[in-house]
Amino acid sequence: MRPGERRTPRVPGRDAREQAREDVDSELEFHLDRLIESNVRRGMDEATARAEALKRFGDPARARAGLGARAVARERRLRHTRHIDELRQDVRQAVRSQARSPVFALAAIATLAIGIGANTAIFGVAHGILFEPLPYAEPDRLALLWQDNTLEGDARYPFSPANYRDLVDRTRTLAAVAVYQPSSEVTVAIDGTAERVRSTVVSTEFFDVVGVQPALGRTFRPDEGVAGGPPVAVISDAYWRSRFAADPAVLGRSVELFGNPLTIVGVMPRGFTVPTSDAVDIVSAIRYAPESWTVRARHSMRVIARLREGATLEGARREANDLFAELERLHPATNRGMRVTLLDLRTALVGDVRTTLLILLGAAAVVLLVACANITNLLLARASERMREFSIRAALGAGRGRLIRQVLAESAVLALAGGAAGLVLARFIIGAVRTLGAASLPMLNRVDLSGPVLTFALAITLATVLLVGLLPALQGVRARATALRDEMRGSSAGRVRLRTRRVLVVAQVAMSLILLVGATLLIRSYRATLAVDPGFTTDRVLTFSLTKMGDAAERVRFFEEVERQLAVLPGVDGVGAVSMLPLTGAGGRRRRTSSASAGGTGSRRR
Amino acid sequence: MRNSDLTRASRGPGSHGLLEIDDAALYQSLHRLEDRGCVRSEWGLSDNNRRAKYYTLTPRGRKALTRENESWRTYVQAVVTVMAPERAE
Repeated sequence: MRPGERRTPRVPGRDAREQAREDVDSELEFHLDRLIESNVRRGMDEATARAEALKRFGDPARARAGLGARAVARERRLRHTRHIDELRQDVRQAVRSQARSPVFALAAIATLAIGIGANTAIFGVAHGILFEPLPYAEPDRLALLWQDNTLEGDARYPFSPANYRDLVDRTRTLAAVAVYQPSSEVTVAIDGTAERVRSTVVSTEFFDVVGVQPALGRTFRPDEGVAGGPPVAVISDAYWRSRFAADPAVLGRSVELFGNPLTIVGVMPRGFTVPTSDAVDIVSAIRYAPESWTVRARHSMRVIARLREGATLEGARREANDLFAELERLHPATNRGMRVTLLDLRTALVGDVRTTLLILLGAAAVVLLVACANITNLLLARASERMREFSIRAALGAGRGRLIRQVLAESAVLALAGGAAGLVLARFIIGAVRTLGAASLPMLNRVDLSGPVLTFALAITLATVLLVGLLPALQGVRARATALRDEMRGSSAGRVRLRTRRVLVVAQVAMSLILLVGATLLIRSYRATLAVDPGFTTDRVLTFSLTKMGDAAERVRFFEEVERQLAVLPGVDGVGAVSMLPLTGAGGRRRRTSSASAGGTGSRRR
Repeated sequence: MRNSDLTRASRGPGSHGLLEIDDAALYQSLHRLEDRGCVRSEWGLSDNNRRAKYYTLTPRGRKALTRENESWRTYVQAVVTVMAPERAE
């Protein structure tokens, strides 16, 4: 033991348990000895006295075992309450010590809140989009298919009905194939009242492909997918609750869509949606006329398929491309340069967002590391000021573990407060992302502060406790070894301390530089995107959408009337109508402007 | 009071040797009482300078004793009343 170092009698756990057993032994031994003594006094010889005492005592081995176990358990309980007491003391001490320098504490908490908040928010977005299971059975076996129009360089070209039919008839790798459409806003009439809903159409096989059972009623029968068959629809759980108050009698009710009455036959389970659409209220069955299957030149079908058990994406891709090479030979007029794009569902939906999100996740992690380094440094600086305090504590008998725990308690108080504030921040950021990112991020409705995200937040908060607290804690322990007098001179410990802090500063600057460069590049490419000329001016242009039911002539009349009346409004320079706004639309890349639109501007990307 | 004294008391002249309790069992209950906070123990030195454990009744133990004593008396009273010779005849 070095001079200046004092060791208080502390008994670690195992020894304490042994001690408890020994106490029991010596208590029983004492008792037996007393019995023997008194027997001897009554005139027995030594051996008889012992035998008599044992007879009176009962089974000493059993008593020993029973009492020993009880004593050990008691010791464990005592130790437990002692730990809790110490913990409470540490936390109280930590809070008090932070309250003494509120500016430091607030700055540290704010820094950590930004770090933890940003990480939680981005993890929340990434989790919802990249990791959370898709709302279908065995989603790994699902794939989306497009025609790959190699001549126009459009890899996501919808299928034509005849090509789709050929694929369905010939495939050996796909267990089931169906057609879906992204949802769009339409007007429906229920009981004569019109309302806007998100609606889509799917072929009758769709629900078999995705493997989703309705929560109520049924999905579509094959005869409902043929022209002239009964017009039917299923509705989403959310729409069932909001519009029909979760009334089971909704089955059989009628919804009028584009002037056609549809019968509701089922309610889908919560969270169900069609691919590429965040949410959908009404899904109706596409009814194909038999003659439509011969059309090879019109492209309107988005295709989803389920791989056969054991089939690979690569195998399915090869098979489909072989088929299309053959179709190219048979139908050169319509299929020249046509191949197939086949992607697993997650990749198809998430695409290049994955890389962006992973980069952002990395950047957020670096931000947190910088924040941690920063606070560690501040804590180290404070720890130097507190060397005396630690030395005195050590001199008064605070053990190594106790000192480490105390410093860790301080960083824990900071990190937990930062984590709590970070959660509030993350909630805010996620709300903002859901509002602002709607156009550019898929599956945003699945992004939330869910259980796994909260667990992640807790995990990084705890990691932060260690990251921020460990170095200062070790320093505190070193202080224990340093006698008070060392504090007065420039000791070697002081030099080590300084070096640690310098390393931290260098790391901080390096990481900040990486972030800065990354951010600059991001801003540059964003500015470049903004600078791309879309071919039309977006200044002072407002848009809105509306749907009119009725026959074509009636609709044209209606839109012309709307345009005429809008045009006479003061402040309106020009009015136009278009079926789909330029550079919008889910998934598709080809835009068609409505011939009925007056002055509508069409634009084709690429 | 040490347990060894306690066992002697239990077999002492007052009990007329009617109460024969296993010493080991007595220790078990003593430790159980300690767990419940009815007695407190501390190590001390016996009259011939050996390390010995001394047990003291805690306030809680005293209260428990009073309670048990009363309930015992009530019980005995009830039994005596029921078994009174004039009723038995």
